[in-house]
Amino acid sequence: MSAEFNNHQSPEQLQAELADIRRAQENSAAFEILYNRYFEMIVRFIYQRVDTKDEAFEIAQQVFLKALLGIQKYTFKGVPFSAWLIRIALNEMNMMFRSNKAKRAVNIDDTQLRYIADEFDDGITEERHAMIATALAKLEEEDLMLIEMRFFEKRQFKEIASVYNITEANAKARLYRVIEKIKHILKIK
Amino acid sequence: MKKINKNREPITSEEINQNKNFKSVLNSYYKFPKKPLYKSPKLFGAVMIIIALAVLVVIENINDGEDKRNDVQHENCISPPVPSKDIEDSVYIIDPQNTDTLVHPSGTRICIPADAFVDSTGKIITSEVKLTYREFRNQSEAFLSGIPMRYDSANTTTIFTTAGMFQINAWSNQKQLTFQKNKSIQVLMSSDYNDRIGFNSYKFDEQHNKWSFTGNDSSSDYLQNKAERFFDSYQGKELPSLVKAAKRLVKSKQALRSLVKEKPFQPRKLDSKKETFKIDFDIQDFPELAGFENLLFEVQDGQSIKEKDANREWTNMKIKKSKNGLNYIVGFFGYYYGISYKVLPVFAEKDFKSAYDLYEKKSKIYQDKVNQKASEEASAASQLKAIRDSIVSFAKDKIMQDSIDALDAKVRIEAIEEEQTQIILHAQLLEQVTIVFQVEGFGIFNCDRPNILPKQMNVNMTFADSNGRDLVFDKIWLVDLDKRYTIIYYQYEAGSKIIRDIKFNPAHRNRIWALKGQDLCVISEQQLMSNFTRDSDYHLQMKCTDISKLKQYELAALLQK
Repeated sequence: MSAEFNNHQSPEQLQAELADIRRAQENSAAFEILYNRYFEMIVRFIYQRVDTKDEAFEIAQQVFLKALLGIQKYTFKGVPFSAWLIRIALNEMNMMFRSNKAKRAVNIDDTQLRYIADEFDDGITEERHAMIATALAKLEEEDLMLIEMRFFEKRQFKEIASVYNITEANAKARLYRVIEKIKHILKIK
Repeated sequence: MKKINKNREPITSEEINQNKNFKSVLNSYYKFPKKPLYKSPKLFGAVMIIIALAVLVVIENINDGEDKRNDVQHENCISPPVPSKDIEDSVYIIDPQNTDTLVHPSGTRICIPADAFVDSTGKIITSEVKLTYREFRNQSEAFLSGIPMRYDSANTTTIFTTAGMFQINAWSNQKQLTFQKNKSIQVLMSSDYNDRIGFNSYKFDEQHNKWSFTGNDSSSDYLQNKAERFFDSYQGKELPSLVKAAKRLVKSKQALRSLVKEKPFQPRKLDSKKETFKIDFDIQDFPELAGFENLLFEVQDGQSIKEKDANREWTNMKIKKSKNGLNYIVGFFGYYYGISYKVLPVFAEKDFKSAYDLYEKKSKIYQDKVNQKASEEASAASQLKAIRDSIVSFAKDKIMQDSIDALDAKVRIEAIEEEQTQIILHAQLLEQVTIVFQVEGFGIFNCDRPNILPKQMNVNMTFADSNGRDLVFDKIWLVDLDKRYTIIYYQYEAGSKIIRDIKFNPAHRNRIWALKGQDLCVISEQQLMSNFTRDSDYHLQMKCTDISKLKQYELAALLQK
């Protein structure tokens, strides 16, 4: 099962969320609204990238602790609060992977493989799928994250761009380069 | 090598909910060691500011007695140049318990929710509220308001191009009100400025006399959503042909507007004295450059490419169009280092002809498309008008036949006309230049773009009246009509009649306004250009008018003449 999210919010929703954030900045207990709203999304985001459920729950709690500690520094940039939480989650996971407290895993199902295979105009044989999965596992961390966000979680370029603090054009260009890398790996293998 | 899990057992929402524990996060937060005060970045910042201020005071004292050079100056607080000619407030009396939409004479709409206002104790106001509102839609109105237009960000002083600015306040029993939490007013400000690329919203902090960034200008997205939502609500109801025609008009207007992005780029030959480089980038984001072969980027503004940067391996590259729409900014980034260049797309001599041929071909296609879309728009507009007229006429006839009561007939006809007006208004919403502000507090708000200060020409100016007598002004304003900003100069060199170091861009249309008491002197852009030389000293003759007896519209005409 893939973790797909639709994080688009209307200007009214963004304004309402900003009011929640302001309240959390004034009173830490008011952060609970944001915690309840985004806990499931963050757990799924992490679980897509780690090996076990326990790791996902532990990292998610850390993400919200870091968010609460840093909420005073949060500045609204016109995108949903979730983009900020995802950035924290990425940092937290990287720390956990580096310190071997959690194991990085490439979690993929047949549907996701089919999406990627479509991108390469590639066949849908079992053997080909296995090769794509292996190619993904060989990618650099940042490249793999891009593939996961775009193809597994169906995130829009605008959102990916806001997570990485880059332009949409740049996000597209980066993804294009990663796809080229995968094609390259598949050809030589 | 990372572990691969294929078709792993999914995590369920129930499991996730069972593991939710906000209390544990909150407890960890309370136990988390806070930084001691001496490690606080705020304290460090405060100490640095105090040191910087001390250094400035010392430098200021050392410089006392020396000639003060006239750098660009700014008012530090709201200071109308002619207080009697300040833009007046419009006053609206509202019932705060009801939702209300005020329509200002300029066309601006102010949407107020019910129970929005509270007094200083937080009590919701139920009695009559006086709402004061005034807006500054152009340079002359911003000038008359005396609101500082300087914006400091990242240690850079910039000056605002204004697309629209307003001041709003609410009062009850002569006491200023504030907003109730979670309530906000929406101001749909009509503007005469539609080139709003790179504009943001700002609020003026009257306590500290500075502007604060509040968000990006997302007005066009907002209006598009609003119009679409409105039309969606009409699906399946009566008047489908009118809604359909209105939608068609909106779509054709959007199609015409979106064509601007495809306007082809006119090729230029490279300047052999300047450095160029070639890069691969996603052409989809820059359709104006599509199809050109051997496109080079020429480095502008005297920048040069260092050899070590040319040979460096970069991990990332960004390209974006500059705000003037002519240049591009290309940035190269490594893990610890980045560099950016302002560039212009150019072609080598050998590639120029084929590039120009392609440009001409693309221009023709582009112009054909524009003509086609414009004709579609005109046809949609006339279809909409015809349908509306026919519906009104049909409805009137039918109501007059059915209805015995003349008053009832009148009300029904008015209701039908109102409904159709609303449909057409929403269709036009996208065409009107409207800036959307979501106001959560009272004060002064602005939709602006910060500009760097001009530096192309640096001149000294002296002034005389039409009889040749020397004029010494209280203040003068350099008005850049193309960039829509004004810069104040008021410091004369001690004992002299010269204002030094006035900076402007001679490629723009510049005007000068000057004040001496109640006398306003103006030099139009044509007069300024006719005096324009590359010399550093200007002696300008100005015609002055006593503005004390002028009406507001006469003053506006004088400033804009």
